[in-house]
Amino acid sequence: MTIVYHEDWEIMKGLKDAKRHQEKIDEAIRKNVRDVIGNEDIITNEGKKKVRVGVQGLKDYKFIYGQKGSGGGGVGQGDGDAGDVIGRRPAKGVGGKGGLGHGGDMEAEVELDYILDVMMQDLGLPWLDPKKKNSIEIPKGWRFESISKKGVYSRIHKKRTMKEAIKRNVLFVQEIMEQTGCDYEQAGKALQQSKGDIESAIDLIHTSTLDEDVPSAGFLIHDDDLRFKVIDEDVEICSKAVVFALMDVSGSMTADKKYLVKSLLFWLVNWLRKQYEYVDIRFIQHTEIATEVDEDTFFYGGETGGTLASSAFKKANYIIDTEYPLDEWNIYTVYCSDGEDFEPKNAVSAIEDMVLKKINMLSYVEIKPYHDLMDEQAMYEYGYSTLLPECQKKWDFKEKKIDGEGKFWINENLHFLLSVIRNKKDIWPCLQHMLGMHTEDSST
Amino acid sequence: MINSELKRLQKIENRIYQIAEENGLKFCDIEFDVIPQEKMFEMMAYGMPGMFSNWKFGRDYEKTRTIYEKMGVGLPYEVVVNTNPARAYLMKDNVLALQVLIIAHVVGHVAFFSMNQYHKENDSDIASKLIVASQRYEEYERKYGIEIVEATIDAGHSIMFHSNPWSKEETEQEKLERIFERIKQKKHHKTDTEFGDFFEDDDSQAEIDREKWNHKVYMTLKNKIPIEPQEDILRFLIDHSRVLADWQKDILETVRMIGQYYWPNIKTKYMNEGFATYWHERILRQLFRENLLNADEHSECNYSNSLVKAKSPYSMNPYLVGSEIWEDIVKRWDKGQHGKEWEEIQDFDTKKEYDDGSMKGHDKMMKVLRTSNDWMFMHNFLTNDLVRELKLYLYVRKENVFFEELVITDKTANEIRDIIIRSFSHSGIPKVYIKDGNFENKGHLLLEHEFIGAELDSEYAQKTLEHIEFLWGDDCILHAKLGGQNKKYHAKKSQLVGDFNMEDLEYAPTSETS
Repeated sequence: MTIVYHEDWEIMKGLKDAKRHQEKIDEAIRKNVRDVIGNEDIITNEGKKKVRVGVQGLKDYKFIYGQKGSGGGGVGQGDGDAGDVIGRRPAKGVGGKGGLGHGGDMEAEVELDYILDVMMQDLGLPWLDPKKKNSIEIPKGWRFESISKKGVYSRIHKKRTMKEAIKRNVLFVQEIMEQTGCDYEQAGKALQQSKGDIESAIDLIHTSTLDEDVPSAGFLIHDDDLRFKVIDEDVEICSKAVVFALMDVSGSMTADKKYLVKSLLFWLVNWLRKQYEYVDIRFIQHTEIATEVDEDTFFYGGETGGTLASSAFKKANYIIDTEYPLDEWNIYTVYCSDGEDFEPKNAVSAIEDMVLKKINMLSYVEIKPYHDLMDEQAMYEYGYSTLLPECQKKWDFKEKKIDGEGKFWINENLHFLLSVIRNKKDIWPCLQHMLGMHTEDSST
Repeated sequence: MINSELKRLQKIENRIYQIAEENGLKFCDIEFDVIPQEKMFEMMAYGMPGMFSNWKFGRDYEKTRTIYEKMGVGLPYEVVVNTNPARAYLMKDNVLALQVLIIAHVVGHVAFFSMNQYHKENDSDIASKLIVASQRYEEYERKYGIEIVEATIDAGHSIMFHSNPWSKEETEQEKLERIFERIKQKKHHKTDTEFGDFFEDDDSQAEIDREKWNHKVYMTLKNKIPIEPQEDILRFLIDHSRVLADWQKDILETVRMIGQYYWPNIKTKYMNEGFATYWHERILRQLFRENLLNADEHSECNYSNSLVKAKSPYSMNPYLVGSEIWEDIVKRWDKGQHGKEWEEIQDFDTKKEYDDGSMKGHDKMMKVLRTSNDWMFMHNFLTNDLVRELKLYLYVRKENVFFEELVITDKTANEIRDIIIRSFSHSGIPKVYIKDGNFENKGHLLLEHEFIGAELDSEYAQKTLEHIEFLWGDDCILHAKLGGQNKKYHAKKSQLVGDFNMEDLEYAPTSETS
């Protein structure tokens, strides 16, 4: 019976296996981008380069009894009476538990860029060859670019000047040696005493008037050797994009719907930031009237009132006309709503104004969680939406099949997209829809 | 750890052994290693020195570390390996009081291992077997790549506890004979009652028919794999899979061995932790009385003890529930509060105050310790009074649009007790049998879950079946219940791993396990 004290224990497998587990998590994240991008931890982590994803660690599967049998509950212990709530978490679909769940025991740190890179494999820029994207030149200051033989002494390029001088001296000395048959030292001295003039140096040797006692002192800099720096104006090619985030904030847009909007915009904006040097976001919310607001108000504020989408589009059109010249800016507009509009006809005409500008993308996203729908029939017909059918009446749309429960339509010529999404699982398909590699119809 | 402190600890350690022996605990030698905290986390994750490498242990290691960082020092971590001599670990940076608590607790565990019948046949040599095995596995990783070694270990782990160490070890031939005899018996039994007349006379034709029939049954049985539904899934796969290389079988044998090693622990977790907690509390009190621990140290111990016995709103704490049941047993048998006579006392106060001075508590404890497992422990000694005293409740998950809530139900103590007891049947591990190794004559594997009131989790069942498919190398089908309906899970011959399987495994060199 003993207690033994060792000084030199080494961790043999723990670190190695932990690393392996981390690799597997990374791989899982890579494979489950669509789950990860719906995770609210990421969305609320704005401005940071890294995002933390709460993970439970990878599961090890075995035969276990299911939740159904025990009603998803269990036996607990402590003070509490029947009916007391001992735990609460967001319901599925509103955010929260996904494949890689929320609030796990461990955290995986993922570079935002990394997720965007993974997304890049599946996404593109709608209707755009990246080279063609609108860009402008911005003066950046001055820079030295070239070298000239003429200039002012204050901008002399010492190194280049010396280089030229050495080059010329060596050439001259060789020439003198060749012409006169003298040795290297004599040629050098002759060149020096003739003050760099090669012909008088040759003369000096031929006439034997070279003063042998003057020591050789390197080489001379000739006017021809001088080199000057030239400064140029520096410009940068800059591509700019602006995102118009338009949202209906009337009472029916609940927190969970706004969460989906936020999630969608987060990824859209981050994605565009990867593509453009400069990305501007303008938030416009509307009830019966539209107001431009800051981000916090946009996502967390609430208004009551009716719903006129036309007001938001009019406001956006006005801002585009006054602040964002179409030849300088790439313009993306996302309109999010639950589809209820009091005057859909007016809305469509305001939308048409925007469509005719031929901006880069106009995306209409309707958020319809299941609990909004009263019955099966409504679920398939989207009976509560007034705006969507109006748009579909006005223009032709082609339905696009993407995974998940959302529905997507596209009009390629108008750069106009329609989406109906239901829960956070549809965010990824919706992004794929918006940023898929669309090609413009050659006829336009 | 300072030398003087180590000396003092050794002195207390010896006294702990004496106290334990004075109280009738029997235990083998214990060796304690003092190790740094990182090593402790590793020991907790791997469970045993020499355990082979796998990402799951890495995950657990990382989890333990995170929890430790969040909770800070003071958590009494313990790892005991049930070998002979038993091996246990102390964390270097812990204060002396905590070390004393852990030593006292470990003595309880080792006594439990030594005295409980389910731990009798434990492989005391497992640690050294594992060290050699993990060296072999490193070699396999180098030779065949980490992916396939990992896939094999993962698949093995998924069905690790489906090898019951108490089932009879029988050769295929013995099994065949046993079942053949049973069927013949049945047949004869039938002839005696129903068709007795036909076989009464000593007709030679009947004799021939009987021989023919016997032969047919025998041959049918011989071609049947498995002959009868087999519970030991790993054993079956090792013996009958056509795609496993010898080195993979080597891994699976080890995994099976580990599963069998852990089975007694699973079967007696509450008893064991409760027993160790019961005794460390008493030993610490005694040490304090004898001035071997000062008041500060004793309160330090009490604080750690309160962490050990903390109530969890979402689960049962085996340290708390287990020790309280032991306390209750000792109290009731000391006072004679058991048996029909006592049960029938109507007056509440009389019943509660009843004391016949029989002082049989300790004897009863030792008897229960020797013969019981958790299911019996709960069934016999978790009384409705205890359910109320321990404030055990049952909660369910309720979902509305925005939230998923866990809500306490209004179940009575008796209902809660029944549900707890049921959860201990077969130690909470579902019974899944191999039914047919050549299902529908396609070489598919058919498994069946024996439904005893609770259904399998469908996601886990599907993924586990895919693990089995990897080892079997062909389609696997599982019959189970889901939502009250019969459900057929199907793991198709996997394209990715399956192809890899067929080409790479069959031709893998087979001289590894010599």
